[in-house]
Amino acid sequence: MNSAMSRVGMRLREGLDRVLLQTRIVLALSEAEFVLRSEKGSFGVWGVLFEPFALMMTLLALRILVRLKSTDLLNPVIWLACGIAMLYMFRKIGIKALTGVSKKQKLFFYRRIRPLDTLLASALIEARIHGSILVFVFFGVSFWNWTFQIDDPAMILIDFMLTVSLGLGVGVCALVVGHRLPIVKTLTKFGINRVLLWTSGIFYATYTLPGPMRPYVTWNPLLHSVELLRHSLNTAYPIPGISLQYLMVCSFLSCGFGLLFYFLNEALLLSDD
Amino acid sequence: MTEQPRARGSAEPQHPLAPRRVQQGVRWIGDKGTELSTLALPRIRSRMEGSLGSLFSSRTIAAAFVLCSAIYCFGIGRDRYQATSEFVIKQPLPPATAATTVLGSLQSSSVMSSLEDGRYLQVYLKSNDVKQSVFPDSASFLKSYAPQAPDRWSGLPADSDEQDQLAFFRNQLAVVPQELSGAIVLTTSAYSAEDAFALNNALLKQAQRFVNEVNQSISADQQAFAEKQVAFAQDRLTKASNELEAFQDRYGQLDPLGEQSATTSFISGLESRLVDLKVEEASLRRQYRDPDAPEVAFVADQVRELQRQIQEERDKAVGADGRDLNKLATQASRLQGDVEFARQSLSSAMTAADNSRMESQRQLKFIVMLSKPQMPTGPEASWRWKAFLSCLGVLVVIWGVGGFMLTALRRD
Repeated sequence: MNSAMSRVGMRLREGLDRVLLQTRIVLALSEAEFVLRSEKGSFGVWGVLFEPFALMMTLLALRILVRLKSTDLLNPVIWLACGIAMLYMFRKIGIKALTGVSKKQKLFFYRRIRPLDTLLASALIEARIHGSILVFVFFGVSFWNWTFQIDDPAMILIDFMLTVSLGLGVGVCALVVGHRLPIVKTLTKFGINRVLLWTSGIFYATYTLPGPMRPYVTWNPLLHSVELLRHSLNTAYPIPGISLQYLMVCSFLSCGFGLLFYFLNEALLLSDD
Repeated sequence: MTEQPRARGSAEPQHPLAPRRVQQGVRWIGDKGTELSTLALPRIRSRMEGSLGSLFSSRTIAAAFVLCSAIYCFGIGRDRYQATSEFVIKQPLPPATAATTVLGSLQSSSVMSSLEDGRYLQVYLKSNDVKQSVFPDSASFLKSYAPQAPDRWSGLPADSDEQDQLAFFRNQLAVVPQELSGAIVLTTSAYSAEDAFALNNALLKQAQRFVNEVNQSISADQQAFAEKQVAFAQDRLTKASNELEAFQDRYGQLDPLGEQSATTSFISGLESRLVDLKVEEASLRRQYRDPDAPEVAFVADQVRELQRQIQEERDKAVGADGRDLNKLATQASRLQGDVEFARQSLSSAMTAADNSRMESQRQLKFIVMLSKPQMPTGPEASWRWKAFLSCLGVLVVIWGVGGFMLTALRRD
């Protein structure tokens, strides 16, 4: 009995060690990517953070110039920042998953490093960049207005995690399927770059749309993510037709299918394109 | 590059990052022949054991934080009870404006009105006045929400001042107007089901009182204003009528305009007669050689007299010593205009007052309960998960943002 218990304990310990080791690999790859990016960029390490930040500022300026209608329930800067941060995080994670594996072929020389690790590392660094931007914008505006309102912080955490996993899942699915059907990669890129921009609620709130129009945009899980983030900052912000369950289902399904396709086709991804 | 089965020992670092990865003080772990001990990932192992002390301490702190959060959220934390009610502030609309809108999604005026009242209520229900009305006795408030063992952190300490009490009171209630429906959701929380339920009911009474008071105040103001306008118009009419009467008493009941017209026609008649006499005089002068003949002199006298009479009549009509019918006519016309205007003003003011009275009766607002508060049957458990996830969120933000910034600073 005792020996069986100790064997189970040993197995658990081994499993935990493997998970921790894989986590460290992902963290190390993430850091390596951070360094590579900072070397590529014009502004060094801070450029990695401030380039997306500058993009957000440009869109904010555009909004001020065009005078797009927003809502008075949230500060317009925070309202817009929520949309832009989530969309661009999803976009970067998805596109990196599509294109990143072929660029990291050299790293697969090390047997411990698998394509999924590089994808996770990219997702991690994108999540940290966009999360940092969101935090900076939020605290900046809050200090400027001297009002601090987060009605549901737990929801923010869940929403953020689900969006990251959604981006990763969609990217991995498209990557694996795109290896066999290249048109899928092209279509996914087009969808992520064009269609999502206009259906993710960056420039409009769902509740301002007429009822019959909503089904044309609420199919997009990213819209749910953006609107839930806004709603979690102020629970009075209405979210008709938006649900956490839908985002959760989309995220889990995309991740599940992505991992399934990935493990069935890992050898294909490891080979040179 | 194809996947390498093993690159034992002989694997030279080919990766471009490799030279940067070699750092002083990085320790090699395990067999150098394995892939993990190559130059590509020395940081992994260096983190695992090289700087184990610092990592261990930060991990310990994080783990302790998570553990403490979990113990507090799921163990020590007191039960919270919530009571929720939902209502709408309805204002009856006349049939003409209550028609459906062209687009169903457009917010109707009643929704906007309820929403506006809801926003007022949002501020009012969290005011100190309401707190004083709901908890007139500060001691009982402190007693109801006093901290209890083992959870000594939540609750209102016995030595808290008025500001703390008000802040705590505000935290116990949430008034959320719904943008789309105009309904107002009132949620109260407390450490016992009875307190949460009682607080919700008390706040509903306060909301009812607020709506009634506002209505009555607005109606009273509107009514008073309208009545003041009627009184003012009446005064003006009386004054104008008195002035006209005084004028007529002074100059008689004759109509200056008519009199002026009669005088004008009288003078015209005289002038006509004068023309006839002048023609007759000219005729006589041709008949008689002597211009002083009695017949001619008689007619000439008539002509002179008539001219004098005409001049006298003209002077009487418009001269300084006469009645100056032009001036009188203007004055009479102005006074009559004043009276007419004052009469119309009074009529308008009375109509407005009547409308105001009817409007004030029609615009009375009512609180329509959509969902009455229910006595909570059990404690609200979602706060435990929310609080725990919020603690994890804090950790994630510290790790994600703080760690990111530290890395950037270190690399800079």
